[in-house]
Amino acid sequence: MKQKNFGLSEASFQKLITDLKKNDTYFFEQVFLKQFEETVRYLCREYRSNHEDAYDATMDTLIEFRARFVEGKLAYGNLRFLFTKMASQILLRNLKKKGISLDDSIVAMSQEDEEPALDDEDLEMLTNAWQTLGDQCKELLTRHFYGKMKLSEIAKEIQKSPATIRKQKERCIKHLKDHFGLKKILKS
Amino acid sequence: MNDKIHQLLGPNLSKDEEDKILGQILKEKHDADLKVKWKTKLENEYGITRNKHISKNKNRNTFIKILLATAACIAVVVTIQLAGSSAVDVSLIAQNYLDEQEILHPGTSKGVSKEEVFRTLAIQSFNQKEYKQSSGYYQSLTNPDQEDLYYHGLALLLSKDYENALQKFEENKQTGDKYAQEINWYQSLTFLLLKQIDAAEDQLEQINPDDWNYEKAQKLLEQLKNQ
Repeated sequence: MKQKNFGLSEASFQKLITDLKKNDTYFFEQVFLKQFEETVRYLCREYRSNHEDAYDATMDTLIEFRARFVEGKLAYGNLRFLFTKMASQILLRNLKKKGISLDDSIVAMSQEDEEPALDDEDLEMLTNAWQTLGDQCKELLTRHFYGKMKLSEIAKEIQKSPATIRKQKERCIKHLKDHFGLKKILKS
Repeated sequence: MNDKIHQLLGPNLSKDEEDKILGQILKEKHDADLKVKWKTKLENEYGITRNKHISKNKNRNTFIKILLATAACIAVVVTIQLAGSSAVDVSLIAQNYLDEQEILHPGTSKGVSKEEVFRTLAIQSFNQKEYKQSSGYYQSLTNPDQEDLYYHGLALLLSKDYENALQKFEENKQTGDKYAQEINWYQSLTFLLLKQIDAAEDQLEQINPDDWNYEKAQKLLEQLKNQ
């Protein structure tokens, strides 16, 4: 069973999720970056993809896999098989976006038509605004929005009351929005 | 300014909508950060770049790793040469190459028909490193496809049944070129393990600059020519 799950036991599978929820990607990297080359080669071989497209698809698969872990959408079972299939789907999705179609029978992924929420300029603005946040805010917002942790879980972990955490979250968001608002005024 | 940020700054935004937008934009930011981090890590620790060939400005860590690997190979070669056998050293290097990367089958089949059951068992045994058993299951397949033939060949190679591995690789080549690059490499290693040096050289020379393990093949060729 461990072989089907990249050598992960059920306990280490749970640890991986717990770590990712806190945006600690070290263990995830130890397990999945090792698979990178094998997956790139698989895509090149199976779909006659060029190296760059296979590289991008594998990278996107890692990102998608992380998201699915924290969203609780992956069960301990056959992660290896799922990872390979997902990489195939993402490769075909990416190629389709570039106007290249290899196989129409592949099932479209749920995120296929999702447009990026930010352009490069906005991403830079968000990064700048993010830098102005204190460490506690960064950690709270990351765990909640990126790690999909509930505020009550965060509160329990850092031994604060849920109300305190809710309030802190509101303050952090206000800080971010104020920063955006200021930028908007300066730009207009 | 993008719609999402406009919406986030809008006056009538509900808490749920605000959370949704923040979730989206922070995901994009963190995803972008992770990609940069992993790209660097892949290059520095695994020698993998988006451009196929590693740049000359490779990280020092990679250089050290290559240096250590080369030193290890040289150590093996020198030791064996001191023992008075010049033909064994390259086969040891070949064995090293075979051992250094974990070879796993990418997926299992669902196992509905008898054929699929054998295929599933073959893959499972392969991934559990029970290569002899895996080979037996592959042998039971009535209509093996190219992937089956490839992994059957690998199972034979990894269970040290070199002659049959070569035969299976040849069989695979005749059915298509899907695994041509991999087979060229593993056939070369098999010939070396069988100490068929001339055949190994011929095979290694067929590995082109854009093919998998070209650099390693060149190193082996150089080693063979120096003997």
